[in-house]
Amino acid sequence: MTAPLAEAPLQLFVGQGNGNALFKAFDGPDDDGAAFYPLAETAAVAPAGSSGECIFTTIFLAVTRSMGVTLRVTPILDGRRYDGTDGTSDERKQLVLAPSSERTTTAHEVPLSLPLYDPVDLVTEVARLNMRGQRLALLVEATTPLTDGDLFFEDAVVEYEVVFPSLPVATA
Amino acid sequence: MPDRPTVRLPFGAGLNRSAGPYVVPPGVPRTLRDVLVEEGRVEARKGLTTAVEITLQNAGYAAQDIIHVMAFRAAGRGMLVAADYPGAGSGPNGIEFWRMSVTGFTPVYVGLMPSPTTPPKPGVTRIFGTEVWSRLFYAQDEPEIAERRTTRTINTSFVVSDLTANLDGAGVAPVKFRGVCRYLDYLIGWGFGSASDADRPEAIRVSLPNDPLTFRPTHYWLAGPRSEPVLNCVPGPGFVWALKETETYILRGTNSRNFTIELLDPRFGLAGSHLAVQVEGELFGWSRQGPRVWSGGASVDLGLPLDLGGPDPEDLVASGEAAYGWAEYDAVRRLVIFAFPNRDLGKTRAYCLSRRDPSNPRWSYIEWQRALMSAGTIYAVASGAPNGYPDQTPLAEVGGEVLVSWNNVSAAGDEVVEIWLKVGAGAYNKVREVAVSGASQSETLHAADGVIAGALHTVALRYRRGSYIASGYAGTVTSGWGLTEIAQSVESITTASAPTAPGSPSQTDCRITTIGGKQYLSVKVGWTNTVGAGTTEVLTNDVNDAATATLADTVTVSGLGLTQASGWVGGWLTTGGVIYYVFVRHRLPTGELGPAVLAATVNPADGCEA
Repeated sequence: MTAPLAEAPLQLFVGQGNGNALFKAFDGPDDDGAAFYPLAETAAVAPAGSSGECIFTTIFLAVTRSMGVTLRVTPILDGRRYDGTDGTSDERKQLVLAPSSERTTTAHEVPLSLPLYDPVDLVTEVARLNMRGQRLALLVEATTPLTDGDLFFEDAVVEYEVVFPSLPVATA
Repeated sequence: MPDRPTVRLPFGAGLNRSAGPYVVPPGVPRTLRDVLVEEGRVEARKGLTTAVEITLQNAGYAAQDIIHVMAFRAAGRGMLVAADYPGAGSGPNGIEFWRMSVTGFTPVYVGLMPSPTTPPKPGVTRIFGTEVWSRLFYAQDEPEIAERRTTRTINTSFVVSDLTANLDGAGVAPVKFRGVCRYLDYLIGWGFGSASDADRPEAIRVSLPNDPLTFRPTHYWLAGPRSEPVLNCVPGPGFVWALKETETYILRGTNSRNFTIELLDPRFGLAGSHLAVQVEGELFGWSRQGPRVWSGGASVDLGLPLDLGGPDPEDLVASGEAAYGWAEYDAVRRLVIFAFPNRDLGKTRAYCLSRRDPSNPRWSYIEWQRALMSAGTIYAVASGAPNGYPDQTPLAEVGGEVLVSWNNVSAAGDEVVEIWLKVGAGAYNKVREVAVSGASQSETLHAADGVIAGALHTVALRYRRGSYIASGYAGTVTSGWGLTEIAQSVESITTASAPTAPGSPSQTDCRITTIGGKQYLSVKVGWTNTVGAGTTEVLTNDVNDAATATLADTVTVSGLGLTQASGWVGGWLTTGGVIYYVFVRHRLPTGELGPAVLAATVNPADGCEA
């Protein structure tokens, strides 16, 4: 009925500062009632090298969870977060994951594109083009408080196409 | 069209913030916050739950800091040290010892460190503790000898006394070590010379073997110059690391005739006295240059991937001072944790080194939402049969489920409560095991546990500690366990044969859809759940008769007393001239249906304005 380790023979406790509580560490969905939001940001990949250029088309993100949680995926192209600030368009995608009675692994397809605006009014989106640049990184973060259960960031795959590769460097 | 190429970004590679963007392997994370690194993936960490709250001397003054946590194996208890400071109310301004169960509950005041000339300092006062030969020893990690309290010892009866010794030939006097640790069956203490030459920050004393209360004046090491104090001594396999701020010594030997000391690492020591932990024969410490590992020789850098000299990750909580950080090993999660509490912000930045693959340690960050001043592992060891028993209060039926409640009588806190269920005249089955937690608890038994409608349910509870079961409770329960107090662990209830009707049924929304020039009307209905589980069925009919109505929607019950609504039902032609009736009813997980009640009467010809 229960695993042989269920009674946790080794429990880490931590003592509060500026407070009088002894906490069980790594227990429960929040820190004594205060929510926290797990986050992972990958290093950038540059499939075409340091002077080449790629079209990045899609991210496939695999997640395992039993808790219900909302994740946000933010593409970072050539060091710029496309989150609607600092002159970027908001290309963040929300993944609403329902709770599950057991650990469930799901893969989510996140298209990568940027808007093309009407050249006259500059605000009307007339088309979208795949992201194009040198380096792409990925930020995945929970945006709702965690609940009981587990959450794993498993894997991400970026699909791309090289527009032109890096130029060979002349050496003496 | 050929498939496009892809590149993987596995999250489990651990942080690497120092390498250039074109040389790091694809997918090496730049930031991992509040996740633990596993094989090829990361897991969102779990949080913090309050085990106990300490009120100093049970006098109503909340402790200001919990400054030490450790196990007392000989007594089968956990121990903590709490501190209170001037200006924090009218508390005792002292340092107190508390014992508790190995699950962290039922704290009991044990005693205190004697009052010094100055009170403890908020966020600064630290304690070293160790267990040797069935005794605990506590030393105040205070560099100023005039402000340091006498080292205290606690036996298995929890009697607290001073550690004393005649170290200068002038008579027995209190010992004021700055820190203590266990090596073999010796007690090692550092930072104290003798009553007449007390301030010896470089001195490391060792007790007699198997007698941690007795110290000989000549049994000591001197670790380098006096100007740089010994900060910590950590026992390894057959030796002790003695760490200062910028160098590390190693003490070897098994008795006073072959004890030696030598300089092991001339460059690196600890940035704070509690920033070291031994794991599987290696010492993990946080030096002034960041994390390092000592494996027998000079230390090796571990901090390169963290790029500690570069900018911090965006939004990562500000670190507290390195001098007041701590290191601990979580054996369950294979994590070396270096934590730096920021007492002002009430948060803690921690650097976590995953040792799930010891040959490939990998880093992530934790940002605890509380300032954490200390850490310790407490070992739950089954140490005999439980003495107490769970005293059940009468069972209650809540929406077709059975609510089991009980008070924990004479529980030590490390027991497990077994919940056994018998339905009708059937046999008892153990349906649940939960850890004892607090003075009273409750659990809800569901259909999956065997709960059915319209049947007698008998619930029996007992404590178990490891493989030990309280006297009289052994074996399989038949009709309770037979003894007087055990009868208090058995209760019965007959569940209702069917659920009651949903409460406050009504129409909540309306819409008209135009298809092919014709208009169709749909509605939503709402209700308040009178069951805690199962489903709510929404039925429609063109006569006011629920018995012949057609199922139009099914909604999973979200909880007892909660308000819910259906999806769109209907799609009735507005020109059809027919009046429709919408009913709702509950269905229990066991299949039993409750009565249907009218939620809405809809005349599509009236439209949504009606």
